[in-house]
Amino acid sequence: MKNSDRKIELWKKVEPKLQVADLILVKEKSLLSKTIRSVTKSYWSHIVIVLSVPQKDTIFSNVLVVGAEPHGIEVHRIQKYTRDFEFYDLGVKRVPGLSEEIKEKVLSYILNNVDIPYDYARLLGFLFRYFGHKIFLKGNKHLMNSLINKDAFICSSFIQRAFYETMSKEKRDAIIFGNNRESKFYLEEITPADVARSKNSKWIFNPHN
Amino acid sequence: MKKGGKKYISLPLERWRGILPNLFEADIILVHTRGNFIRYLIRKLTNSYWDHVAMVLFPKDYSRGRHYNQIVEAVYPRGIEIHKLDKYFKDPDRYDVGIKRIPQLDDQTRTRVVQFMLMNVDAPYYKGSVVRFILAFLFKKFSAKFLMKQRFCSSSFVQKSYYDAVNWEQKNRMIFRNDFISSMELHITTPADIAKSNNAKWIYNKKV
Repeated sequence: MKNSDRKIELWKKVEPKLQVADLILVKEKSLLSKTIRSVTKSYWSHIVIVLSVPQKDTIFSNVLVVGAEPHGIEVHRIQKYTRDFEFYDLGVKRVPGLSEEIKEKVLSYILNNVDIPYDYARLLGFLFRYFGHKIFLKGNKHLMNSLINKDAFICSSFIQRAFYETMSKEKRDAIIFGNNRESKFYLEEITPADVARSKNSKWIFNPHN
Repeated sequence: MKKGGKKYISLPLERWRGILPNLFEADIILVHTRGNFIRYLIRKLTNSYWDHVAMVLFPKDYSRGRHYNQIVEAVYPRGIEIHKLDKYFKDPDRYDVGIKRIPQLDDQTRTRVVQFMLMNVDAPYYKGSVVRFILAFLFKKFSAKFLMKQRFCSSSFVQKSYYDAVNWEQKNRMIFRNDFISSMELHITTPADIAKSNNAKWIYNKKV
């Protein structure tokens, strides 16, 4: 059995178990993805969040996901990723203990942010950091950090914000995915790698750091 | 300006056309686009002020923390997408907007229309043939022939959403063209057909 066929079979078992606000981590076969994975030392390069799942007694029978894509915050069918397991690999994490009320708030936050443009400046900063580090600034971390808002990936920071903004102040600590709380940009600097490694969300499928 | 007891900040187009009424799921949004040649041809050939159609997916609902009207529409070249209605209301130099509503639509049917639309997110866009439009524009006598097989993606999507979501007894009430078309021909429904149809009533900025 081909690797992609095996992934399809595994995914068929997982998809019916998806819940609203589940986190889907994405790895893809592209140069940008490889660069992100290399810099963050992670298996994953992108993240989307589940907006809706099939509902009983209705005609709606699909999974929709939301993420920060090149054109901004967008809604897509899950098939965007699952129809080509040669190109994509997926993992699923879940923030435990989310009430229906919180899920509804997360959804509202996501919908309010549809069409917000993609932050190319951050992406550029990220790439500059990577290539600058490789070519001429090797070892000079202090200079690099002062030049660039490091590791600020908009896809993961959007999802981090969705949870952070909807939780009550007392519970916010339980949904921060990053470890670097000392940085004033700790919500913006979240990467897919941070979400993958975070203990604040649990693996449902295909665990990789 | 006050709306619903709260201070309401109107969007630029609302200052021209009036404050938006409260929208419902599956309300029909008609759009007039300036500065686009194909849209201009569509308006001229269909003899209408409107050249594009969208539908309300999730209306504003402050009690649920939803601060924007979300619409779903067929957008070239990427296909069926979800956007905020504000994208049209923020740019009155480029867009004008009218809104229609199917009367006596129960909540269950509205929900089914919305679910149908959601299932079609990411469906591809069928591009209009520029050559066919230009030929139809130049040779008006034969325009019906040139456009006989032209698919109007935005309006046919709205037409199909309604047609597929309702029960058999209601399907006739959901066809926006006045001449008889079969379900296989719904894709030729134009924005003008929806604008002119008596099956949907104007609730904002009536123009045909």
